[in-house]
Amino acid sequence: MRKPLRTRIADLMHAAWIGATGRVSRTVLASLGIALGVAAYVALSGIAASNQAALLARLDALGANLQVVAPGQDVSRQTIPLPDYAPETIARQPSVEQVGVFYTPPEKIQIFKNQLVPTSNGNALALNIMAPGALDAIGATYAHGHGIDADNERLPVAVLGSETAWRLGVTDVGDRVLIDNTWYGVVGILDPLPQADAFNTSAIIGRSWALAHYPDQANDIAKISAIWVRTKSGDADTLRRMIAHAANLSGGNVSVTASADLSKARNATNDSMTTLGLMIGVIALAVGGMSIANMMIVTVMERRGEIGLRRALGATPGTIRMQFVTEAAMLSALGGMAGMVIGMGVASGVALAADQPPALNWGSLPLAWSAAVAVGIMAGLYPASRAARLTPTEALRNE
Amino acid sequence: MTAVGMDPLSQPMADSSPGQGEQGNGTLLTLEQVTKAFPGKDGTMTEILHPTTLTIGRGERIAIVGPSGSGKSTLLSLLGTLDMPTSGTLRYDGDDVTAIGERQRSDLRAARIGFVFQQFHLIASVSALENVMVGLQYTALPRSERRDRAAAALEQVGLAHRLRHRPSQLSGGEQQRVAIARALVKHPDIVFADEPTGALDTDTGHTILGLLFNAAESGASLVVVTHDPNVAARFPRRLRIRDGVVCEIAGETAARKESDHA
Repeated sequence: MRKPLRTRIADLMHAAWIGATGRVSRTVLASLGIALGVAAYVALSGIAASNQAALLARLDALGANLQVVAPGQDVSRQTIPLPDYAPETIARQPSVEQVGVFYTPPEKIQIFKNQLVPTSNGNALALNIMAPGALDAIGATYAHGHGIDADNERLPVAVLGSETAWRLGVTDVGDRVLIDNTWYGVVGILDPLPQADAFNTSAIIGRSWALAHYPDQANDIAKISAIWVRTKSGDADTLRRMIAHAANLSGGNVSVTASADLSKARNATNDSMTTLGLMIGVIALAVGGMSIANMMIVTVMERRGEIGLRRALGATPGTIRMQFVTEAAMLSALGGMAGMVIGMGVASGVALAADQPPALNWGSLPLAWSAAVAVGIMAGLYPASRAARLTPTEALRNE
Repeated sequence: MTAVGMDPLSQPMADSSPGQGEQGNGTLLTLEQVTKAFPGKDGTMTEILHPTTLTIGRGERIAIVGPSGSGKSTLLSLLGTLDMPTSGTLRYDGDDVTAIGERQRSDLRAARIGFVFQQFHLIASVSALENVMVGLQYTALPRSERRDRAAAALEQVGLAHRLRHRPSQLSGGEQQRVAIARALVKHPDIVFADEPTGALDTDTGHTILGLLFNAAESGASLVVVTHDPNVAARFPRRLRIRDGVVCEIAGETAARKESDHA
């Protein structure tokens, strides 16, 4: 005459529910610790997730997916020039989004505000020569003006990096600067480019103008100095290898480097916040478990009469134990659910306040909840076994 | 007074059973040389119940009287299988209950024994109906069946209109009626009541006792522990216990005398 399993589970849940909800304020207080533990973990891992989402979005915008292809060196340290077809073959790769080509600038170029500056005053500014649209591949944006395109690349015009403009005292387009004793009209001033630091301190001119202006150096200028490649997000090593193959089909050495060390940051940011959340969550869960154990001990002492009654009605010690363990588990399950709601609320609140995309670590929810229930079960074991050890007569004795 | 095995020299049990309620129905419960001892503070065992031999027939109604501390409740616990004797044998329907495991004893209680306590022992946070359903929780019945039976049992004790009330919303008499419904809902072979009227006024106690007797009408044996001689006087068979020794009381006078000690 054993009970069917379904009835047994229904009875167990029902008895636990009655017990757990019998004293509401105490139930709330006891499960608060669990709720806070789960909330801390869910909130922090949620905040970490939205931080990360925001950071990754920023990194990608900056150039975590920017690679720089440059001429490699052979074994005798001689530079192997990049083949002319390289931009085209690289652009053909499926994960490549944009390609920007730069050419070798003439040597010993000096850039000044005007002819009155003594030529001995070096200002550490560099010249770059670009193909039309190359700056777009880097993700450059303009504080003033615009870039060099097919329409103006044959003209003596320059785009100044943000630092260059500041050093030369150029505040707006329409000004002119002296590059290698030739006047250039400033058509654009760049915003700072953290993803391509070198361009902040350089002036950039068009390829066609440069070739025409330096006919004696045309051969050198025509050589590609760097190809900036914007790719889709993905594994940096795979991308790098793929680009290198595309850049020199004959297998000559090619240097492919990440534009900045951002790809490392991308991989490193993933864990630290979540780990912190996990640690805080574990500590709070442990404390919460103790408060549940504490409350269950009090409950068992208080409900001796009920325990005795249930024994008289035919409950075995095992049934009594299960009832109180289930009750403790139910307390922490309820606390865990409340904690998930609180945690999700906090995480999305913080994300909204910080103007980040609200993201949740969905995997953390069932994990945190099961951990809470497990803590509840462990917290219930000792009080429940005390309840089970009570003999019916002890339990029924009037205090 | 017929001796019921106060000591090893008492008469055989068969001689000692008074007739009322037992005729033709057979024996339900027997105690054979049962003792109960508890460890005292100094570690020695104190015998609360001296060797007792006792028979309870089916449908029999018995009152147990005695001063407090005399071992009434201990005897009731032993009879109700809530506690195990230190020595001796308890037979239920001829089966040795002392020889079986706690689990089977629990099953026995769940299916066939009803209890009513002085403090009612109702669960405060649930309705009268739920409280009565607890009486069937440890049986194999499905929940819907338990609900129906519990409602019927509450109707039987006159609380059909109080199903949804919580214990705090009921009077003491009503609470005890819920407790009685909880004991009767399983149609037990025997009901043990420990001072069922102890917490109630005389009139209410009278009603409660009536309900218990009604249950006995339908065939259940009834064993009531009381210190109230008026309650005891309504029982055809009375046992007196004093200093761990059980003996039968015959006639009204004896019961009256007993009240001096209670």
